[in-house]
Amino acid sequence: MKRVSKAVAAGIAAAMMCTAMVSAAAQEHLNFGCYMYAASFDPAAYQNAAWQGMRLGVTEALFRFNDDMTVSGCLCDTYEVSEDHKTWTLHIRDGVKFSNGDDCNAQAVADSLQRLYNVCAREEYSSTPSTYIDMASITADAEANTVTLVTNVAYADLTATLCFPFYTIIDVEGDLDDESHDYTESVIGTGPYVVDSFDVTTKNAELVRNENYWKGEVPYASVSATFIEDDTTKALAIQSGDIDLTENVTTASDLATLEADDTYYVSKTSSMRTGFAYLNFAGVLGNDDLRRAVCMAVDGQTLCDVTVGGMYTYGYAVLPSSLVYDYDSLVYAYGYDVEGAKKLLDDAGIVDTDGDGIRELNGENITLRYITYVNRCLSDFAEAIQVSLAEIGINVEITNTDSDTEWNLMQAGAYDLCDSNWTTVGTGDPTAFLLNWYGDGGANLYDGENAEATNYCNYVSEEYDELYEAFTASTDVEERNRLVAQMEQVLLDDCAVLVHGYYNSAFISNATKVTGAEISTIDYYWLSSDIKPVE
Amino acid sequence: MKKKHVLFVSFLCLALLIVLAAVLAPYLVPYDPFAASLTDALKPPSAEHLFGTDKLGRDLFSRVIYGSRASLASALALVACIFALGSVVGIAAGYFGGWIDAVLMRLADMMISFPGMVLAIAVAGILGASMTNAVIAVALVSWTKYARLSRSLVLKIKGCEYLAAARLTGSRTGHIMWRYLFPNAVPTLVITAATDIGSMMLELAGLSFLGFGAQAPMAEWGLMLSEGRSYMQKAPWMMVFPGLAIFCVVVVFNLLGDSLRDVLDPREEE
Amino acid sequence: MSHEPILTARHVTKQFPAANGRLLTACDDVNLTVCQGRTLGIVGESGCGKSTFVKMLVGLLAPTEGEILFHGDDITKLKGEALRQNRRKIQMVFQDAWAAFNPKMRVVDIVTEPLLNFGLIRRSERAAKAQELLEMVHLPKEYIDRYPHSMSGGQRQRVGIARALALEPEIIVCDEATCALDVSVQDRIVELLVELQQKKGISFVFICHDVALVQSLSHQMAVMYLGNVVEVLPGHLVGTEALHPYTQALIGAIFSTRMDFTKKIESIESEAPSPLDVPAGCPFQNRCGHCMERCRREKPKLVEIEQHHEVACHLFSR
Repeated sequence: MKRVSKAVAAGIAAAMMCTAMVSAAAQEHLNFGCYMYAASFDPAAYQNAAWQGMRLGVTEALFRFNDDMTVSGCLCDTYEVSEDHKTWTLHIRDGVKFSNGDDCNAQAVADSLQRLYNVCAREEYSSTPSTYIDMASITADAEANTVTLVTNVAYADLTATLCFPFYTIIDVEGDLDDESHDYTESVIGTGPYVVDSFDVTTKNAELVRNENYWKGEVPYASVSATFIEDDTTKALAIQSGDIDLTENVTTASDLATLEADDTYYVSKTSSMRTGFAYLNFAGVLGNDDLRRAVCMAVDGQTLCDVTVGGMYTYGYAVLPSSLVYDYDSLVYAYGYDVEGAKKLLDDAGIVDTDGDGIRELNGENITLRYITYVNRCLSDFAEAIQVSLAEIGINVEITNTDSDTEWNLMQAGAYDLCDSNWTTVGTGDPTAFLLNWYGDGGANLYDGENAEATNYCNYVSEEYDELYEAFTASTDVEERNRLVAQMEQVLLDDCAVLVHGYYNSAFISNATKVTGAEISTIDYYWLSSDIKPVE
Repeated sequence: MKKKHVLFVSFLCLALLIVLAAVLAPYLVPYDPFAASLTDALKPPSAEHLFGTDKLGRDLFSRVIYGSRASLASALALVACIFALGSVVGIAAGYFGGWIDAVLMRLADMMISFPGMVLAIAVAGILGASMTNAVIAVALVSWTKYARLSRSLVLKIKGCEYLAAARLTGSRTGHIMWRYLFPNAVPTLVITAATDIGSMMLELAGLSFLGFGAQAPMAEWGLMLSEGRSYMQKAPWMMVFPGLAIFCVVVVFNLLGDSLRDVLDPREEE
Repeated sequence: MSHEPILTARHVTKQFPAANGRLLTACDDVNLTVCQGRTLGIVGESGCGKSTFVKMLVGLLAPTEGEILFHGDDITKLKGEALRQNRRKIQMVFQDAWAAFNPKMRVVDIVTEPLLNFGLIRRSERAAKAQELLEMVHLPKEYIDRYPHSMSGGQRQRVGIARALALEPEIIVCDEATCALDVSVQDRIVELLVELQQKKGISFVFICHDVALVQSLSHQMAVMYLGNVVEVLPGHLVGTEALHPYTQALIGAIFSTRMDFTKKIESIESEAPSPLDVPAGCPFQNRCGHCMERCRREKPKLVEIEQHHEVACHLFSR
């Protein structure tokens, strides 16, 4: 009997230990379902590849954005900038190591940046680091552990730009021209997780803990990052327990279901993204009265609250209302007013003469070509706008396509309205985003030949152009913010763009298993060491 | 009246009811199927809106009724197309034989070897997505069935003496095809066509669901299913009612085709 | 009536490709003549090539070699519309009246179809013309609205004859047209044919394997064996003056109501050889009681022994 009971006790103990080990192991593994935008981790390959490393917690940059879009140090802790804003001396934090144990010191940082600029000059690499930082030289001082960047152009705040995923620091091991390295399937960074394996076809990644993480303990031993394309699938996957963390479920009803259930924690924030429709000034919308009436016919508030179920926060300016550009001071004369829109058209003589319910302009029925694609609710906006415009007698033809085709059609100017969703302050300020409406007296309008042009909507405003040039020339932050607000007002006065609203991004986690999953304002950061298992 | 005739007549009546509903749709619908009321979006079924409302606040009952027009019209047009095209090709191939037969049948083999949906998507992709192009796309892959059927029916009677007699008495080829081959093939082809209406409707709805057929804001059941998919959890009525409509109509037409075959098939004699 | 030859078949040969690269010789060097207002009968066993031959006469098959001259023109060379137009002159009555008509067509449509094909009558005249044709073949006028399958065998054949008459052809080919009928009905059909010939001067080519029937009807009778014509002689002389051993054997094997029941019936020994393996020399060598050594080497030619009498046999050649 004693022998038997001893055996039984041993057996039970063993079983308990196994269970504990299994559950501990399970505790130490995170299943993350997300959209993978790239089949590569190389920051030089193309934009989406650069973002991928940063989002999955594999790579980090010298600085990082806070939730209010101010900048904190990351790999760089202190810095100095010269009077002319062209020389930046950055001190690299002491003691930081790459995940493979190599020191992440000034030389390593300089090498990483130099390699980036070297290889991006080649055709097969599509990232454009020189667009944001026109770099003259990069030098390292090993003793002081500083990197000195000298730029050709004066920048108001290079630290914000250095938050951008292009400039993530990777271990190039002295190889400045990629002679013996290929970073497609994995990169060595300084982030909490390391790429263990990445399947380029399925875009699924397996990550493991970075034992050398400079910030301290990494909560999970391993992470499976699974590519899930469809939002409903993401919702179903987290509900079934296949994943415990996911990002951006953009179908409102699925998100609402998850929010209503206490099992899941939904962290939402208004992101830096604006959903909007370009208006082509070279088409019928060049007619001021028509364009204004179109804007007035759209009930943006209801669209954001009801039609897309709160996935967007309504606003009429091109930059999100949560940013520092004094949204409340802006005035919009063409808000929702159906009767006003009809009256405006009637007064302008744009009426329906043949009784088919569609108004005519210059003898022809007004049919607007609206290009959209199914992403972040853009096509829902398009369909709702179609019915709204039908109410005031304007016909809309929707072409629902994919983002590549949409880009081509937009470049070809084959549209009247064209949807898009941009991160407005990717480098900390809207320099790149506002180029969409910069005319440069007509020189910046894309005509099929000039690849440098950035204005695809044929809008030219002298006032706007002057304000923009002053903005880029200034290095005073206060002055720049004021100029941005003024530019926004010009666009509002001209009804230059139809803004849908500001996209709300979200992180959804299974609250019983995961904690600390808060979505950041700028969607560069997904996986971090703040996300831990529930104790 | 025999049981099979009773069945046939009852299914015919049901089918006619559906067609009638489609034809009279503009008078039957309580709301304008395209009238949107954005603030009334996603309302569940109620006394005001029998089937609820969709994401733009349009009355779903009206849209489902209206959807019968698009679905029926396009399915019937499609079946008529492949019937005509397939019969002509098959009869020609069977009667003339030789290289004409070889070429036409290799063409048919080629079309069959493509997975139907995939080719239909490719065609819709090239021509642009619309109901008309979806009909063309599906027709391109589906005519082969009728060609093979009519060809085999022609081959069956090709060796018959009365065909030789017809040629002997001076009948032209066109006369032979019209008076001899076509009437011989027609009953079987008609049965096939009747049974096909249901499956063709499903193919077109499938294409619309994938985005290659009907486009917004058209009221078409496949498209409505696709629109309702994102709201499956929150507003399931957006998928349930169009789905039920497709189900009922397809079942009715399938049963109609089956009962027609029973009625016309002499071997079913007791 | 002139009784002049209107159609002459010269050296007509028909071969079909068979399995294993062999050739099936259905007709071998056939020479026959059809005279105006006269009947040419063709007899022989199944597979002797008579049906194949008449199909070439009416243009349903093309000969591998040889020519068929109709009023001096080679009709085997006709194609397309010319061939179709030629059909007005040469018509056929089929053996199987079940299969010879489209089951969905009424008698009125069947018999007037040829006329409509050539635009000789208007649609409104169909009924009247159909009645006329039925009268010619002694069928009641009401039958124009009937379907062939609701009529007796003999009546169906009459319809077939009526159809053949519609275009008023010069030659009508009867391909075993009476074989499926009762004997009494057969006789009546034969009477009808004779009557039509006298009234309208039509030439008939009458095929049958019933020698007795053919000989009573034909002015000239041709005997075929394995694709070859072995003897041609006037019909009424067949019983008495047949020379070729095969013809004699056929006569001896006749079983008819008019035969002499005291005589022994001589059947022909053995089977006919396959037309795929026709031996060199005389085709009848293996079954002929008078076979000589020459017969195995040399094929006998059809030679005129007397006026209107030709034989292909070494027994009678010089």
